[in-house]
Amino acid sequence: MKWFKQKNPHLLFCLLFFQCTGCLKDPAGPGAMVPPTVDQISGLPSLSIEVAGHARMIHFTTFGDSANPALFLMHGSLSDMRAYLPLQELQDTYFVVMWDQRGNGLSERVSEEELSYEAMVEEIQAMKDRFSPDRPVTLMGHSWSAVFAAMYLGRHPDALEQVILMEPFGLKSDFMDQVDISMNLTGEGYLDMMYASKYMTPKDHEILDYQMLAVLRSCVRDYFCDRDHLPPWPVWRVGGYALIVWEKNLLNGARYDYDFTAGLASFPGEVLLVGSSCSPIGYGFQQEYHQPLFQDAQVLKIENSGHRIVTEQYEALITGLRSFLKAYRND
Amino acid sequence: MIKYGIFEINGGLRILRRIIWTQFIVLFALQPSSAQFGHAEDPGNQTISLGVSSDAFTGMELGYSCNPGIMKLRDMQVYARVSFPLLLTIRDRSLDSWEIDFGVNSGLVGSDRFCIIADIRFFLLHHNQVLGTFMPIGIDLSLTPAFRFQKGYFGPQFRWNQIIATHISHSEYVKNTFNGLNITEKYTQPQDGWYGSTGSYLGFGIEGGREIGTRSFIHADLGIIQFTSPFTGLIDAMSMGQVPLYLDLRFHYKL
Repeated sequence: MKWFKQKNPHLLFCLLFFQCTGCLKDPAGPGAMVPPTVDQISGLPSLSIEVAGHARMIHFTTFGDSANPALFLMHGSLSDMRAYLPLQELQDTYFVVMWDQRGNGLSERVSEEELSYEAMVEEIQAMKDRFSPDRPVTLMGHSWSAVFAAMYLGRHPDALEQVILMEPFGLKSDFMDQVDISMNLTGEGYLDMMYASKYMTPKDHEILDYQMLAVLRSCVRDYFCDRDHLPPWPVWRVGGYALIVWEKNLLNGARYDYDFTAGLASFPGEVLLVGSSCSPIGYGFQQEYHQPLFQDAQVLKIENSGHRIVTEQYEALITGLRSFLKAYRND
Repeated sequence: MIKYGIFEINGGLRILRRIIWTQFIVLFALQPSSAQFGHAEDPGNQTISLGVSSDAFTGMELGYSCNPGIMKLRDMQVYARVSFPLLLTIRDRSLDSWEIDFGVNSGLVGSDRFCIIADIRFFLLHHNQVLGTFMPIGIDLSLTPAFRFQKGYFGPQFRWNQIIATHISHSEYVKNTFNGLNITEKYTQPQDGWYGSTGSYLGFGIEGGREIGTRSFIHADLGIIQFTSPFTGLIDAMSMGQVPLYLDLRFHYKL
């Protein structure tokens, strides 16, 4: 060893260096920084659906008797179904189906073209074909998924019994132009993310999803009643790339340019819009801009809540849902 | 949702490149040929420096450098710096975020009018945030073909920053993301330890410096960052804190 160090100090350094680098963990390794997806490991409930020409594995769960009318529950962006699991109590009357959308949660990560809005509508249809092919379903979506649910409603009105839209953002760009949503760039959360960009570059889904966990705790976008005490939002894994693609596709240059209202007025069924008291796209926004889009829509106001209604005011939400859902009414 | 009322990144880059090259050409044409490099020429020369940077908007740094007097490399400096993000430190009320740098800066291929300034820097960083505690080790290389004029220099800068390894101790918040999944023991917790190559970026900008009096020198780097990632663009850069710009301003004082 002494002889080796004397004669080959540079070689020894190189050997030590490469040995050490070989011991380094791979950030993209399954389960290293974020939980693995269902296509990376076995043991998680999953099924394969074909959307946008590709068969993809999705993480899903169901509650209740499949003979009951189906209720599909879709999570919002930067989320998975974990925070919505308490809503499984609706299984007393419904067959509740929850899943992590493609590119989100523990479902398989997909390419940009598979995350188009049309593909998200197709995904809902694929799930209906799987779990309720012969009967209309009740569809509930939150945030971005409320937008997808609205798109699905516009294209497949006959497939739906009732629809619940929890705080969709403006279904037309004109609506969002009226909303003043600024980013909080001087908060501790954003400053931490900015400092972290010195050593962390989202070069794969794992690092991107990992970094996006910080966004959930950052209050960069203020949708909350108390930005200093954010409500909890349990997740297993978020879908960072999906959010990036969806938001990018809303823009034409630096301006919003989209319209998701096609077909909404022709839906004869009941629609429940849920809006919180603190969110900029809350109760007032839903009542002013979205309620007139439907033939039969009512707005449920959730007091003392921001955008994360499910974890902030769960009891008020479930009470409102039970009042709205047909299976609980004596119609 | 976010409204962006400012320029698109592609258009901004084109404009910035034109500004950089126009300034370079104009300076070349107007400046006399008698040139000096400024702060680094004398062997044994020691300086302290105070700087600001764009790290989390308000990076502050303190540095020390000296010219080791290696023959034929009289423009060489060895330096050590410590820096921290001021606004984040105030917000955080702790000194959990800091960086230590060790580097070498040298002017190569010297002539009356031109030189190439090379800088190689090793850094160790410590950052405690909501995702955990991070200690990256990395290297930063920059190359500036500079035009030397009466009291300073100026030129386009090319920069490469690479994280070699990062030690990560995940927070309870991250560990909780693994809870409630009935999967094999191998995936019950995120893995603490050393991770390879968590980040890198390329920088393109301008670098310049100028003597002030006989004992002071001011130095500036300003540029655009291109993160080496297929997932970044203006939208996600802003929402995740990856602001694609850098700025370093340093004031040196000769001891």
